[in-house]
Amino acid sequence: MLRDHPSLAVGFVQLQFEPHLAYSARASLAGAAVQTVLKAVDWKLGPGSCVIDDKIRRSHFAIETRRLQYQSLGVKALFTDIDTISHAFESAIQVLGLTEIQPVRMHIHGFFPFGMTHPEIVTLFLDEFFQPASKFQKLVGSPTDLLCQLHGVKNGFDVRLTSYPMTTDQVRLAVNVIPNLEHFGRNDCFNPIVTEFVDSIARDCCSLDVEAVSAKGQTTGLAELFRDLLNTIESTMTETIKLLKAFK
Amino acid sequence: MKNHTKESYHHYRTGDATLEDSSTFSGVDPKSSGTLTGLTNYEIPFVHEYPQAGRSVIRKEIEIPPSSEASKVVATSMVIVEPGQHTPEYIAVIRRRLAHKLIEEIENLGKHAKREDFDVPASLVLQSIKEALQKLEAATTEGNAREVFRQLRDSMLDGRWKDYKLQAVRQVSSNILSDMGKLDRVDSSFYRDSYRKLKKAGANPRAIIQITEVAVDGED
Repeated sequence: MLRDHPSLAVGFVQLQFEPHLAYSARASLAGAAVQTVLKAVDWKLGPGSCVIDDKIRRSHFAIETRRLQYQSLGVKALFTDIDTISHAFESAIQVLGLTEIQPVRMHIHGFFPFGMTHPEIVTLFLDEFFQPASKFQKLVGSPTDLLCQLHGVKNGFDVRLTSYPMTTDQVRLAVNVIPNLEHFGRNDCFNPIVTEFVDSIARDCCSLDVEAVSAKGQTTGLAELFRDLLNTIESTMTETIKLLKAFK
Repeated sequence: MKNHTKESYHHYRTGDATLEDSSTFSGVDPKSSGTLTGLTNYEIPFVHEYPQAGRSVIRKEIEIPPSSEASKVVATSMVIVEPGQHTPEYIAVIRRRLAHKLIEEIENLGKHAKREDFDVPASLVLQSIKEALQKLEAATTEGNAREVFRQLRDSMLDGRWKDYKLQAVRQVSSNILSDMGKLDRVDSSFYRDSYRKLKKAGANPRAIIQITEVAVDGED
C-alpha cells in the first residue's frame, strides 16, 4: 500500500548518539559530505547544526550534536534511493567520527483515503476491533473517533502501530504539528511544497503511524538495515489496511 | 357508526422524485372513499426515504368526498435514513466481511454432515445468508453480489440444504465466497460463473433460472 502510494506519507529516519562538543565543530563538514552524496544544492547552518535541503526528493537531512535525521514529505525516495540515503548517513557518521550510535529509528506516518466517509471508517474500526467500545454509547453517545495502538516485535524490530480515522480538518491540523516543515522550501506560510503535500492528503482518511526501531545501533551496512525497517513498516501498513478493508 | 380506515403508504426517494412533485402521488383513492358513510378515518402516512443527504419537499393532495358525517384526517410523517446508502467502497468491505464469515459457517457444516438433524446447522447458515442479503439490500453497487448470495440461499431452500452434506458443494460455495471476498466490485460474469460452479458441484442454486446477458439490478 505504502509502496503504491508513497506520496501520502511523511517519513523520518533517525540515528541518535551521545552528544559531544566536537560534533558541533564537525557538523558543517558532515553537512558538506551529505550535500555531495545527495547532490543537494541548498543548506542552512545553525549553531552546532547543519540542514541540507534536498528539494528533488522533498526531504532534508539534519546533522545535529545528538542526532542525524532524514525527513521527507512523501516516501518514494526511501523506496527508490535508499542506497543514496544510507550512504549520506554513513558519510556523516564518518565525518563526525561516531563509533557508537543508539538504535536506528524509522517512522512513517501515512494518510490513506479509503474512498469512504469518516463515519464509515469509524464503523470499520468499531466493527473489527472495538466492539466492546459500543457499550460506551450508553454513557455519552456514538463513538466518533477511535484509536488503535499496538506495540510489539516484528522481524526483530520494536514496532509501534497507531491507527485511527481522520477527518479532512483533522488532517490539516495534524500536518501543522509535523516537525521541521519550515525546512521544506521557502520559510513562510505559503510554502508551495508543504501546501501541495497537505492538499494531496487532506481528506477523510485512515491514519497509519508506524515506527520501527532496530535492536541496536550500527554505523555500517545501513542500507540493508533501512531496507528491512522500511519493509517491516510497509508490510505492517499493508496488513492493517487489508484487515480493515476485509481483504484476505 | 362505521369506522373506515384508508391507508396508503407512499415512499419518496429524494434521489428519484423531483422537488414539488405532486402529480405522481395521491393519498387516498377518491373513488373508493366516495361511498363511505359515518365517520371516516383517513390516515395519510408520508414516508421519506433519504438515500442521499439532500432536501426534499413532498406535497400530497387528496380529495375527500362530500359527506354528511365528519371526516378525520390523520397525517403522519416518517423519515427513514436508509442504512444502505454508503459509499461503494464501504459497502464492498461489508460484503467481503460477510463473505468471510459465511465461509467459516459453510465449512463448519462439514462437522455436522452425518447428523440426522443436519437441517438445524444448515438453517443457521441459511439465516446468515438471508441477513447478508438484508445488509446489502439497499446498496446500488452490490447487485451482482446479492445475486450470488441469492444463489447460495436458493441452493439451500426447499430441502436442498441436504446438498451441503456433500464436500464438493461446501467447497465450491466456500471458493465462490472466498473469491467474492477478494474483489472490489463483483461483475456480472462472476454470478454467472458461480451459478455454473454450483450446478457442476451438484447444488441446485435455483429451481427455475434464466441467465441472460442482462446484468441484474441494472449493473454491468
